[in-house]
Amino acid sequence: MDLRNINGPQSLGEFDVIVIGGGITGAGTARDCATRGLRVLLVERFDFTYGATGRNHGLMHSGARYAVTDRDNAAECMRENLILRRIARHCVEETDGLFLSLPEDDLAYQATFVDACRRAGIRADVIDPEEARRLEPSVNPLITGAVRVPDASIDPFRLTTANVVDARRHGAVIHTFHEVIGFLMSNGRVEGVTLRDNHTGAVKEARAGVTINAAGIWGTLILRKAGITLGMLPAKGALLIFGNRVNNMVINRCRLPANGDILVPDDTICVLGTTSERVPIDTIDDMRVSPAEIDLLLTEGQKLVPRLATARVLRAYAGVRPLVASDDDPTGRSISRGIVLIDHAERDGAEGLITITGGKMMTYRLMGEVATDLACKKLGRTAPCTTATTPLPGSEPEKQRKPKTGYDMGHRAAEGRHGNIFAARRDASPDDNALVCECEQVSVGEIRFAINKLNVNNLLNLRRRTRVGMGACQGKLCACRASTLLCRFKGEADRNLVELAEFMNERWKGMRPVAWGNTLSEAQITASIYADLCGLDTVAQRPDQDNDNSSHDKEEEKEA
Amino acid sequence: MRYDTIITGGGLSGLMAGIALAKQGQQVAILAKGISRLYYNSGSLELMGRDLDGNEVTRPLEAIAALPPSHPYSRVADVAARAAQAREILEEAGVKVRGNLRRNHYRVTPTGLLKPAWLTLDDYLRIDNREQLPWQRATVFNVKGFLDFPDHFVAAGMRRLGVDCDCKDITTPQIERRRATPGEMRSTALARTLESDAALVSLAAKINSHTDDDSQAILFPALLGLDDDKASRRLRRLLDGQLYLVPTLPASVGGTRIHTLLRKHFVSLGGTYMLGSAVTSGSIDPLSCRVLGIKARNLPDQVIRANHYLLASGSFMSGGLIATHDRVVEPIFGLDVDAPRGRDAWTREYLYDRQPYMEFGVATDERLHPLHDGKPVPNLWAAGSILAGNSPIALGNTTGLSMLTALEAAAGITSSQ
Ligand SMILES: Cc1cc2nc3c(=O)[nH]c(=O)nc-3n(C[C@H](O)[C@H](O)[C@H](O)COP(=O)(O)OP(=O)(O)OC[C@H]3O[C@@H](n4cnc5c(N)ncnc54)[C@H](O)[C@@H]3O)c2cc1C
Repeated sequence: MDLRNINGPQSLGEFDVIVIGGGITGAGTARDCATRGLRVLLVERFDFTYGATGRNHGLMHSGARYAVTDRDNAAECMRENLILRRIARHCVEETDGLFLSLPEDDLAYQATFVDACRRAGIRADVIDPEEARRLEPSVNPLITGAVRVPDASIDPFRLTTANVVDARRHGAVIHTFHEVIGFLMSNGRVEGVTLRDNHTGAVKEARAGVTINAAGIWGTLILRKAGITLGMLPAKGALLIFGNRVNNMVINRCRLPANGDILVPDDTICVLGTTSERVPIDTIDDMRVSPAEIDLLLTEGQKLVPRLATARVLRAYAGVRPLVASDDDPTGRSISRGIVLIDHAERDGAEGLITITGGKMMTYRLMGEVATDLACKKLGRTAPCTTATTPLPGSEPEKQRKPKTGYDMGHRAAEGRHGNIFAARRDASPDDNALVCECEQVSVGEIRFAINKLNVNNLLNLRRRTRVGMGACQGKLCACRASTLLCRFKGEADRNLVELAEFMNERWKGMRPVAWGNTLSEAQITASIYADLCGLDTVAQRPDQDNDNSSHDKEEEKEA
Repeated sequence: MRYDTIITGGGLSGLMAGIALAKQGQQVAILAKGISRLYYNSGSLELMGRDLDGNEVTRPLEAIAALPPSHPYSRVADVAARAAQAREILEEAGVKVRGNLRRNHYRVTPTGLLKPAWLTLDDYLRIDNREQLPWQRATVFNVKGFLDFPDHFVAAGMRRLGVDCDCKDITTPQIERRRATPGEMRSTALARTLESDAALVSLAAKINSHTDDDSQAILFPALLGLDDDKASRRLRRLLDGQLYLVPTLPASVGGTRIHTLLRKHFVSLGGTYMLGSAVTSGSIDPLSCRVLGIKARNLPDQVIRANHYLLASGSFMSGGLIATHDRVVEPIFGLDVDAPRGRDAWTREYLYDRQPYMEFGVATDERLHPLHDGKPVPNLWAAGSILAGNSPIALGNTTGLSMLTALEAAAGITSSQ
């Protein structure tokens, strides 16, 4: 009898593989392991997409951006790009992209660029600036050159959710709000992890033959707990979200990668980015966007798309790129975006431990594949990888396509978000059809679905799964509506009320750096509703600066 | 047409001042752009809910007297007299309210919390003593499919006060017809539906079938009475238990009612209310420092002139103030604004802290004349949320300050004739 289960930490069980991190890499790796028949535990310290995955640009690169500086990486992007169009079509919007030259740019670079793209296997068509203006009316009319490439827009939240759903379908055990705080080691061998439940504070443990560290930039901190040093280079990137979609195609600047030179359309909004700045590792949990970064992005962005000067900025956010240090370039830009797979048995003598990091969101599948290959090898298993060919839940081919007419907007939007895992629910009653969020067309039915099927316990989870509160209104009414539905379906009104107050504070965090013009008026309206009318200022609990785990789940994020 | 006074802004302060001036026999025009802050109203009006230290206020007059001279309330010479005048105007207009100037009561918010208030519409839930409620049992009824009423939060709020309270959904054939179109389930649309007697009778039957004794309170979302309190009086008569309305998320039916009644009253006194005529610009003579005239969007070629002008165009949310990315301006006259340049100092990190931007507004002299290049404009007055130096949400005084400064400005206008 194992006494620890009575007196010591609660055991979550024995697995083949433990995957640490609920970002896209962890989700994709868990899916791959589970579909190859391994017994998988996936743990995430807060909620899925809490890290870089929820704070990135949402660009499905064609690879063109890296063609000149890093051809292998560019070619890798192109291959994964084509795969994701098939297996994750409900997460991808096939927009194509333009690389534009402005009068101040050297047009000779265009030729270098096009040549590099072709060598990397990326289709790159030089088009007449006139044609580019016709295709994408928002571009600066003064452009001197344009190249069309197969860039696309991809939704990180949907992509992560679909991988998690499929992992679970294949038997994976999934725990959010479980943070790895240490390793179970014996004779230098990693045999599992110690976890803290961030809701209750309870300490638990789990055992596995192989543990895969897929914790992004935090991976370096986790390795320290096994006595392993891995130099990572936290590179902060800031982005701005505009309240309406001004462009239909991805718009890039045709020059060496620099600040503020990509505008990605995303659903009803568009996102301008990015910057790159090396930051100390101890600041990665508290990324803020400075006024200087905002001004820089706006200045550069307006050169590409003049209409951004008058568009409303909804919010600003920043993420940290999980790059592995390879030289000491202070900007972090010349670092390879390549995938880093580390077998810690070889590198550090720690058998049973693998790190998978680096790369990009859009190369997550390949990252999952190489990590799972290595795990299988260690476990003596031989199942082949199928993730490049098997569509994700939501993108499966429909047996009989029902006509798209005759059912309502909210359902159509939800199908877009969840693909055909939601389509099964066309039993829509008027109750389910009612719209909670007009900007994002989120219905009561979708919220019920998310609460029942997608690990939703609070408003923040709900936002990440459904986009509620992420549109132009930033939660003005829908946050309260959604919160009331949480009470209705799950009870706990007192807790939900405090969380609603905190949720609005989170919305504010991203709005605050851009609080002028309409964004400031909207902020005042929101305060009039939530503080003045509803009185949430009387229940809100001021976040404690130090030592507050729950506050980590409340940072600004993409399109939030 | 030459007016005695032209008022920019058709919200609570513009209307209050307009009525006071029309009662004095003036020819008054109100130029109103669109919805006012009453759209977000709770069905209550407050004088002062919290003091500068954040403590809840029981006696609003005392708390107002303790404010520093920089606060716009200090421009109101006799607060109690102006408050009495405001209440008189509300009553003449048919706005039925209850409350006591000397002692705040609580209004119940859409999320079931309590906030101090001075006057509350008399068909709304109001709590005089939170330790002792007049009933021990209540049911929160919501209209099935209406998402803008956080019924479960209201019930939880009642339970925190020791009331045995639960939630029920009800519907009527009239409402079911609306439900076919999801966008129709908003407060004002439902309030129109619930004007029909058939709908009220059927609603009452449903509520009565769920209430077994008449000692029980019936809490219902404020979806009754956009124009007056007829519908809620009718429903009250049809019910077995006591009916209390609880405010919903915007649009506020109670706020719309207050606005409608005041507007009708103003018009019945001979005032001209021009909706949809946003004032675009006003010119001030650099020598005399007087307003020469204003222009409105719907009359672009015409300069509108009057003897007196009142600016009641509100804060940022109403367009009375505009923030560019590094400074705050008053867009009509270009008046002096109390706000620092550079947006770093405009906001605080924590949403529920007192936000500096809320206090921005036009600077005035003692008599509510705004300053232009440092000099008061003698034929222009400012009132309401556009005034600098108030923190309306933190102090819980948005509506009170609007009404009282408007009446003070109106008195200034009358006496300057
Ligand atoms: C500004 C910016 C823009 C970008 N733009 C793009 C783009 O357009 N296209 C693209 O493809 N890529 C882009 N990227 C890169 C991309 O976001 C990342 O490569 C990718 O999201 C990394 O995913 P991940 O799962 O490895 O890490 P993360 O998403 O950071 O996930 C790590 C997870 O581990 C969890 N974790 C940490 N510590 C622990 C612990 N102790 N226990 C349990 N869990 C833990 C974290 O909470 C987090 O959820 C961008 C990155 C940035 C910063």
